[in-house]
Amino acid sequence: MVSVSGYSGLTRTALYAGLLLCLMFFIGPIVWFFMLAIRPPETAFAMPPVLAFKPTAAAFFHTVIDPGANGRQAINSLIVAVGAVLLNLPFSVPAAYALSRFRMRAKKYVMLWYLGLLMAPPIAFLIPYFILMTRIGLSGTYLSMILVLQTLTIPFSIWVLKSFIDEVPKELEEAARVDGARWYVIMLRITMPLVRPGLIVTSMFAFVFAWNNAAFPLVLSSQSTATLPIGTLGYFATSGVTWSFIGAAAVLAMLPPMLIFLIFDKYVVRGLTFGAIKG
Amino acid sequence: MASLQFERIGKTFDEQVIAVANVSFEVEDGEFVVLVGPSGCGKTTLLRMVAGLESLTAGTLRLDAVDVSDTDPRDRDVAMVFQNYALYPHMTVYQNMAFGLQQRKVPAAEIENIVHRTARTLDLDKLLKRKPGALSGGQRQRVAMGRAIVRNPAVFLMDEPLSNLDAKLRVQMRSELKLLRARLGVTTLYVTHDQVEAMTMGDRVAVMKPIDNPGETNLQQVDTPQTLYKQPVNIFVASFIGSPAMNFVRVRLAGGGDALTASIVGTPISYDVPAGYLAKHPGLADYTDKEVIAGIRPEFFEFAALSNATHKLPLDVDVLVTEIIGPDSYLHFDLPTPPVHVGTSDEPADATLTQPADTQSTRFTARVDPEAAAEASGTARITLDLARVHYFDPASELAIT
Repeated sequence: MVSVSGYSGLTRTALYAGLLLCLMFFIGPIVWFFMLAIRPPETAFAMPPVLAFKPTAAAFFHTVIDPGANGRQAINSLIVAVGAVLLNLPFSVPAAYALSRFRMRAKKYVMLWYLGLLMAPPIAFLIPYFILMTRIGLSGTYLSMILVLQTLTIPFSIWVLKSFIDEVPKELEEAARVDGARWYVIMLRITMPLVRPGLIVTSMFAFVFAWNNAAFPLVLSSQSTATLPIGTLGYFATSGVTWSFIGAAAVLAMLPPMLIFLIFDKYVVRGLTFGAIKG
Repeated sequence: MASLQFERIGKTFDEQVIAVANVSFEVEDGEFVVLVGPSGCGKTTLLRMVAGLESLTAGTLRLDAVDVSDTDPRDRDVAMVFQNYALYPHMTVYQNMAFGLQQRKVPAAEIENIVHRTARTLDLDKLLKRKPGALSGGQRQRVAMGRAIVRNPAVFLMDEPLSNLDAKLRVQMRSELKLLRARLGVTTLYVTHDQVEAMTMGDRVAVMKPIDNPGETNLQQVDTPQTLYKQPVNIFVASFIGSPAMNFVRVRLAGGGDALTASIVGTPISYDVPAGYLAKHPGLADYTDKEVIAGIRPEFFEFAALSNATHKLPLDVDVLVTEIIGPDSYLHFDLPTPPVHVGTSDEPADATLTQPADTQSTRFTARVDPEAAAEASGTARITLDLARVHYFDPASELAIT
């Protein structure tokens, strides 16, 4: 870690300036959206920019409280995201365990195939998914979105969980076997507690994937199951674009993922760097 | 309490890598048997087969005369101490020790009783609430032992349990382990690559060797430490057991009947094999006019002035270096005779120097009186006790008796 305090006055000023620039770059859009939500609509795109204005919370009130606004969509987003999380681990844990522990012929190719699923642009599958869900009569349901989201969350979780399970020494499971434990006891009482950070981090990512995803709900949701990103799109109406509502909805939609990352910060870092360094 | 019978046991990995073949021996009830050998000799594989963690590809394993070759580990009543301890890191010391009993549906009150009693004997009672990460190496070692002991198993299996400890702690734990096992009296199979550990701990020691032919066997000799040292059956055992290692030299035998003369190949040195030795080893006479390999333990040498052997060969040698290690002292010298290669090269050569670069001379190690060694330099006169030399067949590498 490099400490700024070690540098002389001028260098230090330049460093701080550089840091500030980076900060602006990353936080700028968020601040801008926040401003968009609280400034009077007519000043939104004024040139030169209007810096002095009387802030209003009307847009926030509208998105959160007013009937017919985004409240319902936030609940839909939550249902889809929680559903995606619940469906994720029961499928990815056994798969990751098998890929980590069992000897199988095409293990490398299976892993690459999962990676391929992650890398393929989801937009390419939107029409097929829509047709598929319509044919089986699931179009417009929460379940359709939850199921299709698994094509992203399960491969990702398998990759992360496999590297976690790889790190659990085989001897621990062998010790448990000699101690007389059955396979499911070993799985539940030895292996799973040791990969708990991995379970947390994959659940988190599944939640955030689902929460942020706009493409799948765009084709799969109905009026009553539309999620927050779809709801926000509704402000691009024929009567005009209500920028302050979009700003407020975007800021509110950002909150749950940000909170999650703040709370589980240490697991994220551990999860993404796992296996990089031997503890 | 149980006996273990190995009957022509074999293990082949992936149908091509032969780890273990044709291993047959018996561990008696309450006996402590050490499996020792260089890496790749199959000792750990054999131990894991007893634990049930590795399947047998040949032979039969019997625990108390019951065939357990295909039995699941949980039904074998064996406990194992792993090389890296394999303590469950997310459980406390107490939970680690209780886990095996819980799996066997022992009532909770009884578990508590057993764990506390065992913890007291192992001096772990103050650590029961700690997790393994907060323990020192020696403490972890004791928890691993405790986890095995609480189960009160028929057989203990230990896979190099002391190898992760530093030298001082290892010696201390070695004696603690001996005391513990004397008190418990449980049949134990113990794996180590350290022959000193093997010799000091085992009632009997099984010396194993890596093999690559399914017709061979890993098991070279199973005997008491004394017998292994004094009557090794072949060159492998002779060179593996003993530190510093045995010296080997080619000698040519001549003569016949009850008088044999041996001359060290490449040198003018020759001596008469003592008549008493010949009487005890009549097989030697068959090697008249042939080369054999003589095995000489470092302690068969002594300074000429101090030797009290009856049949001795005097040698004037150029002292290369002397190492004075407390009560022992090692003296190294070269003789112009081609070296004998033995198959235990990956054994750490404790006090022996590396062989000279010149392929026509062999370096010898002699264990001599330390006070006399302190003054030795230049040329020294030492003697070899001829009555103790071992002879081996150069082709089969078996001891000649």
